[in-house]
Amino acid sequence: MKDARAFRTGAALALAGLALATAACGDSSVPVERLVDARLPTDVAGGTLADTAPPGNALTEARAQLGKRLFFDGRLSRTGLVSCSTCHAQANAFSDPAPVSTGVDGRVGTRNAPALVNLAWGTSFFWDGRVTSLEEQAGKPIENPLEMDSPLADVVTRVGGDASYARAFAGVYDDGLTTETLRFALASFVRTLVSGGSPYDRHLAGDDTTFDDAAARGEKLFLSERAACFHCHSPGSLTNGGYFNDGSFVAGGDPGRQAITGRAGDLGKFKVPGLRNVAASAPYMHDGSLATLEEVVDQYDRGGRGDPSTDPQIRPLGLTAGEKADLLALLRSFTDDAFLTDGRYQP
Amino acid sequence: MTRFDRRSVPLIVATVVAAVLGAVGLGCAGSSSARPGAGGGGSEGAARDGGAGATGGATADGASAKACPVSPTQLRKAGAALSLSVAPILEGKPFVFGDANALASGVKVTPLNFRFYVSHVSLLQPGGASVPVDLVTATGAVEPYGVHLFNAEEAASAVLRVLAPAGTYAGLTFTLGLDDACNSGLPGDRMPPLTDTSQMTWPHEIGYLFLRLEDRLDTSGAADAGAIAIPTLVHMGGVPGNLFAPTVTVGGALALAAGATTAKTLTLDVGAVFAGAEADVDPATLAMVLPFPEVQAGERLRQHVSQLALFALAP
Repeated sequence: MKDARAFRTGAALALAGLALATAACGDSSVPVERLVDARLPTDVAGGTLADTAPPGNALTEARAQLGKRLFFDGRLSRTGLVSCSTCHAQANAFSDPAPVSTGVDGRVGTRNAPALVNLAWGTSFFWDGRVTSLEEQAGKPIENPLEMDSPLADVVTRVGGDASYARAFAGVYDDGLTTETLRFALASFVRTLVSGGSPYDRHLAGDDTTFDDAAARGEKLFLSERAACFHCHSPGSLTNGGYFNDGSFVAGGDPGRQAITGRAGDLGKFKVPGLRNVAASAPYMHDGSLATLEEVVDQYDRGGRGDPSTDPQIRPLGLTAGEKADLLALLRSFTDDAFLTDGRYQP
Repeated sequence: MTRFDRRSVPLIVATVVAAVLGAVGLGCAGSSSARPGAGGGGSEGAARDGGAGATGGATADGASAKACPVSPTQLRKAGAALSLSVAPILEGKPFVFGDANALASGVKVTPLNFRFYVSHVSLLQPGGASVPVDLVTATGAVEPYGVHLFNAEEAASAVLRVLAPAGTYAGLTFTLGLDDACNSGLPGDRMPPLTDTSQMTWPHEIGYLFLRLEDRLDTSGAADAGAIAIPTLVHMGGVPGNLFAPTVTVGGALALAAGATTAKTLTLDVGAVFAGAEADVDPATLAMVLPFPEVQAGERLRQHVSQLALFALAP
């Protein structure tokens, strides 16, 4: 399997190098790399990005490109002023640099907009995991009164008034533009937001030229039972996809997963976010209450904020200043600069 | 900088642990006849066939089990179906996931995460012979790797299904965890239930967790909070080649008719899990696992599984 990955990575690099070399010669016939041609993250054992799409919404370049156009289109909101990209900025790993986002008419949300990275392999979405597919997820912010505040049918009417959209949808979905295909196209684009080129990824692939000693020490700590980061942030994918009360919850605050399940034990549980590009996606936690990674490490070192509902795995760590610096070095090694500037993800 | 070779870790850890085991005189496989799943204490459960049907050749000492195929050879395509609904109980009452379960002592226990693997199921004939059976999905296909993951958060995972020859049986056995072949290897190279999303993986690659239980205690209503012996974290795992998943034996009459499905409830006494996690063991044996309370609680449990009535068949 590793050989296959190495071959795949090598082949991708070779192709990229060839493309760059040709482009540098001014050959405009070289096609721009497609959205669906993502280099898979190191933790993905095999398959293709297309394999992650559900049968009813097969991933195609045309669908992803259509979804990208929608992603940046303010007409998805009631006011015509708020697009998906308003709260999910590429430079911030498709998250919002504000603690909580501002939607239509200046309405303020309640949670930090999560980063949109490698969600193709996700199994539940939103901080509380209330939906289980990207296709379902895509419509929720549009309908949310605090975000885009628009019934999907109204969006179809607005967007459908644009003949170019109508033609594009007719070309990629048998049913043309509907409330369902609107969501499907958006999901197709989000599915292509793949990050796998960080120093950490290269480290996992055997190349430590950009993974320094501090990051290596941080990794050992990250994977140790002492710091126990790995229990939730599994190496590779950097999330186990589960729900835990990590000590961010305070009495009277957002109940998180409990609002979905009704279970007492789910009070203050939130979905474990992946950490790829985490250094670019400040602020942190479900409420955006921690401005920096340093604050995040400090909070875990203290064992959370002290609410009795905190998971028993969250406990004071007694980290030294050097250990904190090492963990921070590791967290910064998760940054994939190419992902944050990739022109394919821009309008 | 020298690259840390993740794949070399199991061998290094196994070597170190083997040396320690030898030093303290605790060969966890017990003898060359010990089986994968026979347990680290060397005394758990009945000897069994190593689950060749499910793993394609797990052999004598566990460490030499060779394969963990995602699609093991199915022992039989038809037969009598047995459906076992796993029902956690505590003090004789349902142990409800996510609820504050009140105990007679006044303590309330809220389970936050509760998972375990089951593999290598065999039915026991009245004469004592064991009949290996496949763990199957609701559609009758053998479960990936021949392994079932119970996850208290997902109700559907509470049902264990097997296909067996029709007949009368006196109970069943199974491995509470994974055999050595499945307990080795990288989660990233596998599919569920052996991926990281199982929440049963350890990055230091000394194997998977076999069972994990995390809970929150409210002792405010207890008359003597200091006497409460309930761990909030139990992480039971093993070490490939040395510390094996224990085998559970459950007695109880099972009459399985051809072409029909027999439904039974398999209760799991969480109080026994707590007791095992708090039980005394030779302190030297705890030196072989990581020095953290949850791991040591798990090792205590692993060593005591055979002496605990964890599971029982209910009508």
